[in-house]
Amino acid sequence: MTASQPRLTVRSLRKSFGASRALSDVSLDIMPGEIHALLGHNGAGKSTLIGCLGGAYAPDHGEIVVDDKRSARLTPVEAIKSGIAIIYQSLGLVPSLSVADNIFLGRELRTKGPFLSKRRQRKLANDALSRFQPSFDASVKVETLPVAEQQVVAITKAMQRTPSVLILDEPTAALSETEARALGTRLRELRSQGLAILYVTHLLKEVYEIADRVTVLRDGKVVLSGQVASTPKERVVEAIAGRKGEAPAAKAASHGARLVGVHELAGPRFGPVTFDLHAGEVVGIYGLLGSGRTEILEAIFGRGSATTGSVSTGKHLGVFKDPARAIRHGLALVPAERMKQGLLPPMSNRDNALLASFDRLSTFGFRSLAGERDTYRDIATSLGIKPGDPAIPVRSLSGGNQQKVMLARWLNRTQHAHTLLLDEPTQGIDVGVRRELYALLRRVVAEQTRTVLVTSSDPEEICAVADRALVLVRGRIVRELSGPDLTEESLISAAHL
Amino acid sequence: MNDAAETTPPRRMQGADRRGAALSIHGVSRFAAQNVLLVGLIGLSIFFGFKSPQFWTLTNIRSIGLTSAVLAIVAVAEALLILSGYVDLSIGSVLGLGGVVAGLLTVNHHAAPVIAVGVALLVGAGIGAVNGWLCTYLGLSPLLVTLGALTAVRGATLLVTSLPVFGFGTAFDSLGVGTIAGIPVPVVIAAAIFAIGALYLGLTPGGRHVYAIGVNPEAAYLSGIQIKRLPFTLFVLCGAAAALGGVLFAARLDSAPPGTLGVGFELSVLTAVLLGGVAFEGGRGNMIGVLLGVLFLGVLQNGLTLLNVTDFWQQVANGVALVVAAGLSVLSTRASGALGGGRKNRTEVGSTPSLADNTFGSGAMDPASSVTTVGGATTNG
Repeated sequence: MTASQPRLTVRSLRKSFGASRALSDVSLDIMPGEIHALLGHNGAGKSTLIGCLGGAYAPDHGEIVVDDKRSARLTPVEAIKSGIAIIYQSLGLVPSLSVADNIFLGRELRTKGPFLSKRRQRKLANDALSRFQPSFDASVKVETLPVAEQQVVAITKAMQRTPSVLILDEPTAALSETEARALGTRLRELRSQGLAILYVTHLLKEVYEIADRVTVLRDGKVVLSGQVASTPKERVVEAIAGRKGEAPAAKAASHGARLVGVHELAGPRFGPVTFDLHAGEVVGIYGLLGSGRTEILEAIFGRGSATTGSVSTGKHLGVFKDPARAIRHGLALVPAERMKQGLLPPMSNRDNALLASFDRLSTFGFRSLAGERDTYRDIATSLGIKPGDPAIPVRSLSGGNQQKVMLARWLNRTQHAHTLLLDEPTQGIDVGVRRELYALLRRVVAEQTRTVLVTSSDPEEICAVADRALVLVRGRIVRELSGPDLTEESLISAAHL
Repeated sequence: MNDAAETTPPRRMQGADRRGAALSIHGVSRFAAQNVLLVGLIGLSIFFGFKSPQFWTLTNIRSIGLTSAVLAIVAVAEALLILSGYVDLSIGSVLGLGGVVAGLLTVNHHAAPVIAVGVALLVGAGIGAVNGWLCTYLGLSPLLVTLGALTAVRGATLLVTSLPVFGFGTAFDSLGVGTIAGIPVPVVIAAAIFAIGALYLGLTPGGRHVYAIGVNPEAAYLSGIQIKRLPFTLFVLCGAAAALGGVLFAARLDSAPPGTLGVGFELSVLTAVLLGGVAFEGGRGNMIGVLLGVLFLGVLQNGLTLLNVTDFWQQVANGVALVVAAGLSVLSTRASGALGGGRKNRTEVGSTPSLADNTFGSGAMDPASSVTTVGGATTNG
């Protein structure tokens, strides 16, 4: 193998899920001793590409070449055997086992009999770890270590199989700045040994600190690829954002009274944050995965872990104790994980849309079936839920229509929510229905009586729907953008720099 | 119930041949497949009718009603609890304690039946409250907590008295052996409780909330539903229902043996509820199904006794029925796509779309939907 031969080559990889194309003719290569950064916002195809390399997905077309071995598709086992090691954000460690046990998981060292050779495992694990100069011993349990050190364990574990390519999926998302820098040093150490590294990230700064080459994906295509040294930052930002989309939906010219005031709200993983929501406006929180956006919404709604600060709405001041109280004061939350946190998947459209309304629709303790029918029919028609049949189980609807059912829960005529908190509302929803949902959110605030707070990691979405955007980095608001300043570029550079 | 019709799920048949098929042999077999339990109950009754001339006599039917009555009373409460995603296994012992407490108050303290029964119900409700508090507010495992209570309450009953209590007098005994308009009192009480349970589940907001908590407690919580208080209340009701069952048993036997009253009863109740199509993981099932499950067990026990099948074989039959119920429950869960979950892993709520039918809606009063899932399972494979 010559020095100039790439360790990993991906050639015109294609992958579709149903009608939507996640990867179209993606090609890239990584040389030995190179750190190759992969960028692109959520849904750009990064996860699908990693999935194809790790064997989670079978590509429809194209090939993957590791050293000299070509394959059209890989199973997870073949991927590992061929020399691809992937470290996901979840790290894949067993928290209750020791560092040594984790490093040798599945390839345990034995004594001559059937027993585990704990001592030898521990010694070899410590040897393997030594290049990273760890501050811990291999005999401690993984759960006692901070995330950054758990990551060291995961990398050491992966290196045990002497891979050709190491893929890291957003490794710094859960790390502090210092920890992130330490990780960079470790990766440079591995690079010097001839390892090829694919580094998936959202942060431009890291790219310029540690990477040699950069590739940007957008809508499943490679839109930029080049040496980091000869690529100015502005070009990378442009590539991530893409050309300007169509004119954004009509925005409010003015807004009304303050409906919610969030003051110095803070919890273990975010804050303190302070902002107001006014009647008639849609406010966007732009933040990447792990930036604390879900935590902030849940804290406002009384679900989460706010430790200090306050949320004031009209008569109420202070942190809500539980969602029921927040709802009583006019708040409503549509969580990001529709299936896990929002819907009752096997239950009917009607039961899902009216989940928070059965009490309000009852008389003398009994349900009003006619009232329920009419309320459901009105809101289903108004939001355009398809199929609108009240008895159909909600899990058989498309993602976009499921989201409409979630909205119906808070917008039907029995509800008086004035503040809608929407966490990643268009996750897994196709472009056409997205536009419909944006228009719907504009309609919600049009009467100047309600406000909408929406989080998103898609700058295009924020620009399309919000009057004003708060940029969230590591749990803090670093920037507020509105009017002509609110552009995809300004969002990305505020969040990534 | 006016929206039962809209709840009747679209079957796999296409619209055009639906009407025709309903009249054909195919239609009959489909009906059978979707109503396994009803068909089983009818089949069982015909079989026992052939084998034993006494089976269809009025005395025997009353006897079936009497055995089923106590089972039904406790099964209604247990079914609600299981639907909300919890379970109470201590009911056998609570039943025993309820009977003993009421009996002792009557015999030793000459308490009026109203007082005796009232105190017994309070004791049962109290045990239910402890169970409920541990399982809902403290989040302990319902299986383990109530299994512990099963043992502890039996021990406590024997501490109160180790000898059978008997000789309650006619006023008290009339609860077990009396009749109202020719119908045995326990059957009247059971019918009333069943009707209340079915109305609650089908026609009140609380009934919807029970399903919601059973299917996805997180979603229910974020919608402002009291996901702890409601199951807690159901635990209390379950305890009270078990105690009431004990009172009725004791009154019928005119005796409350502390060591044996209600032993193994929790398994019968669980069998009836699961046979009735209630998913052990919660969130799926209805009251008509539970009633059919209760009657099925009642007929089975009665018939086997008539045929002089020994007690040991009856035990074997009951155990097999529970395992079969567990099997049906898994099959119907798979068919409806509700994977994982239940009280073992409350955050995992199934999200796989499938062809299976909706068993919710207002199906509580709709016999057709009670066993729909079972049929779905057999035909879906």
